[in-house]
Amino acid sequence: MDKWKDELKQAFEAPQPVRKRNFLRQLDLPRMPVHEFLFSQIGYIRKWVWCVSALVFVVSILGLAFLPGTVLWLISGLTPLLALTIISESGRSELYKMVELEMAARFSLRSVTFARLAILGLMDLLLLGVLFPIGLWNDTAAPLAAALYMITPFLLTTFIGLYIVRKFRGQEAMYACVGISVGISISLFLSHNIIPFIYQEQCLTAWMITALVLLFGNGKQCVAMIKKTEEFAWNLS
Amino acid sequence: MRNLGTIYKYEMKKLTGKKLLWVTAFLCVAAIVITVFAGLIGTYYVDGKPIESNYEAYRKDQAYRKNLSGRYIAQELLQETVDGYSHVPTNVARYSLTEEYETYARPYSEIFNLIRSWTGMDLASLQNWEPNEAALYEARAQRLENNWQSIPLTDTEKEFWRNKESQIDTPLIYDYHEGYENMLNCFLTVGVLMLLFVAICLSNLFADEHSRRTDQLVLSSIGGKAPVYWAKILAGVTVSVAAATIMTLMTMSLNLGYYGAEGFEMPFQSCFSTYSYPITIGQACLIAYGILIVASILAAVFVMVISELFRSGIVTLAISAGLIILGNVIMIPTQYRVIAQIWDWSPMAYLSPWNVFDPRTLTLFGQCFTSWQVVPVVYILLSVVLAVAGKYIYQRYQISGR
Amino acid sequence: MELVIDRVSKQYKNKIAVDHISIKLQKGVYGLLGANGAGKTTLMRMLCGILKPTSGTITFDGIDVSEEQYRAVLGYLPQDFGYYPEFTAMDFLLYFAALKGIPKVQAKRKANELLALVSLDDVGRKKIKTFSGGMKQRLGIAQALLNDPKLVILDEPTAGLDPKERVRFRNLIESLGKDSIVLLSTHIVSDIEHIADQVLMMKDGQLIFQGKYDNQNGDLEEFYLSQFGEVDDHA
Repeated sequence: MDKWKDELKQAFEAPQPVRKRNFLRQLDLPRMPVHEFLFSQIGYIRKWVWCVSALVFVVSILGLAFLPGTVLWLISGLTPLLALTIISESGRSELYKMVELEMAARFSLRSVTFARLAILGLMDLLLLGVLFPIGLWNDTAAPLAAALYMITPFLLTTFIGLYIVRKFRGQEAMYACVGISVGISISLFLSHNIIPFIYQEQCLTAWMITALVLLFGNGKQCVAMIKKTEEFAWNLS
Repeated sequence: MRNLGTIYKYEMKKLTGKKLLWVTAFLCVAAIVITVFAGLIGTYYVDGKPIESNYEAYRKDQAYRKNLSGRYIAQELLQETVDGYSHVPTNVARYSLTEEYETYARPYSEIFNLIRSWTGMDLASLQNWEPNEAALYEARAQRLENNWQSIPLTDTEKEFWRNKESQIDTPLIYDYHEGYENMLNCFLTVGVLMLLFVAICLSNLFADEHSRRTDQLVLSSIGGKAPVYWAKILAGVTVSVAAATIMTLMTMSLNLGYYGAEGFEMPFQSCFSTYSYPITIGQACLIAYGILIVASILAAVFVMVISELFRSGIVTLAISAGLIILGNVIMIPTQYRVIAQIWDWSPMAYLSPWNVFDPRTLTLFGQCFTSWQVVPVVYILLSVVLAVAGKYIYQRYQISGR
Repeated sequence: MELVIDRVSKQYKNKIAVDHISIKLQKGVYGLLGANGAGKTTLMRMLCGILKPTSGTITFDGIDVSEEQYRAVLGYLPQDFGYYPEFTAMDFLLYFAALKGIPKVQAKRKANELLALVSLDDVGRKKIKTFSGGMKQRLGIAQALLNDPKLVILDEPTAGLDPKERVRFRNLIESLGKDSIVLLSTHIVSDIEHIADQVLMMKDGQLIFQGKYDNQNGDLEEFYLSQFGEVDDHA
């Protein structure tokens, strides 16, 4: 079949277009509305990001089915990997040295970066929401404690990761982010045996303060990132 | 291989010149310090009220354990333990909070813990027990037999352990051994930290040459194939062995320095009751941490070969970290003997006291070899095989595309 | 001294990158011209033994490209390559000197000599990550000359050099060509015009021209465009 296609193509060569460029210029193409742009960006998020999210979900479910006891510790240890997806997307343009091209496009790098961050942030929040009851299953932890155990490592990873991708460039930065997220993840797995006291009720306030500080810190990182893209824009103009 | 030494020196420079290595090393050191002293941090709460800080509890129990040091776990000590515990009221929710426990029983809590692990006795049974040294050791022997049955061990293995058990002098002696026990408690964490360090620091050693495109310069040089490959492998192994050794020495000096170095000669069974090889707790620590250093060689070679295979630091790091996490999460039930044993003896799962001092053995020609006799040899052989396979991959690499 | 390329081909799945090239090169400078994707880099990689030909043989004075001895006489500057950020220029040269089997003392002397040759002697102790593109390129050139190669392969060597550096570099190549076989590829016709004894032109993996450029009438640039049919297209 393919052979026939090729032969036909060769036999009936299409004539060269005449004044194609002029014709195209005349067309009044509709401008893309913001929500459509947001959706269009979903397609550009890499497959492995979806895979990691799916993996976290599947491992949590499998853990619930096969591991003895509760899986709150497991989910808590997996959230840094989820956070990695956000960091990797925010550092991706720099990694592939696409910053300048994306900056010059109609939807600037800023909008592209934030569209992707928003999509991933929402998706991760949704996933954490789904994982929340799974983490609480059979666990004696209060819902607030469970939420904190899940969200704090996530915020810690995004905080450090966003700092790194902002300060350093390229492959090395991305590599460090992967290292940090697996480091935090493995530390959490170990912490249940080494420092069980941090999971005591009395430490809940400390967890809460840490989470709030990290939330604030993440906000600051995002603002710093906007500033950085503005600096880029200024440099390019 | 001319200039191997010089190439090795520069490969070391590439490795140690990375900030990430030093940051990781610093975090590992911090994690080890926390691990060693974690038992002293925090407070024991009951119903939201603080009872005593873990540090206070440690100081108190340490004094009691030192009092017991040098005594045989024999009739006299058993009698004292039962007498001490006979004062404790049983009609309370938490007997450990009573005055009687604090005054009479707590000095013997270490011995009660031992009796409990050998016989499964609870407080009420202990109070009704007529102390009998022979019966206690018989109960221990029975518990061992049951344990071997449930794993399940083969008849040859059971006979091997019975033979080893007969070489242990009884009654066992109790010595203050906090430093060594804590060293063994830290073993799992130090093992994971070592694997993580190796994964983070070596995942891009080979991959970097490809991503930086220096591979074309290296491979077109006369020494770019064999000498560079071996120099890289040697440098990676040096860094990982050095890291494992430093981690070991640090864990050892912090534990023995703070908790005390006495008790090296205490029979291992006085602490790890389900193991029958006639070694002391000090020897057990040396064995475990010796294996940690050997495991660091295999971990390093594995990570480097994977790095050359995938030519991506991030992919290598993800695979290595995934294996470390799996090693800590997945537990295969012991009834699937072969698969469970292979899994438990593989480097990502092996570095824990219960695997190093595993009653399962490797039986070859009717001879039983314990895990700590087999594993180092297998790890070194595997390292060599992997390194040779890696060289094949490295030399066959063709520079195309880009 | 002779480099014999005998019916060398490289085929990727459905693309022939180098198509049955046969040529003998003797002492002198050879300029390899060709459009992007003509197969220049693929050919050069095969000449350096870092890419295996699908068929054909490459030998230097009877030594096969796959042998260690072949690499002992080779100096190679790839088109695009990175550096070790933690190395100084001196470290970089000493490292490659070790890779090329040069003894330590001799390596140090040679490295100093080459750093002076490429005007990097004052920054020899500085980390490469602080270097500009041109400085890195010069360091790369120095690296290729460490072992006094008899066969020098330079892939786009003048990329990133400023006009002054370019002139110095041309002179350097010219002098190299007196004792070795120098093969350099470039898009920039004027680079070759001044120094190449012979011009080789590649198109679609094949050698479409080989000879002295001054045999032709007019300048090389025009000749080059005519060979590639570019003149007609532009007209």
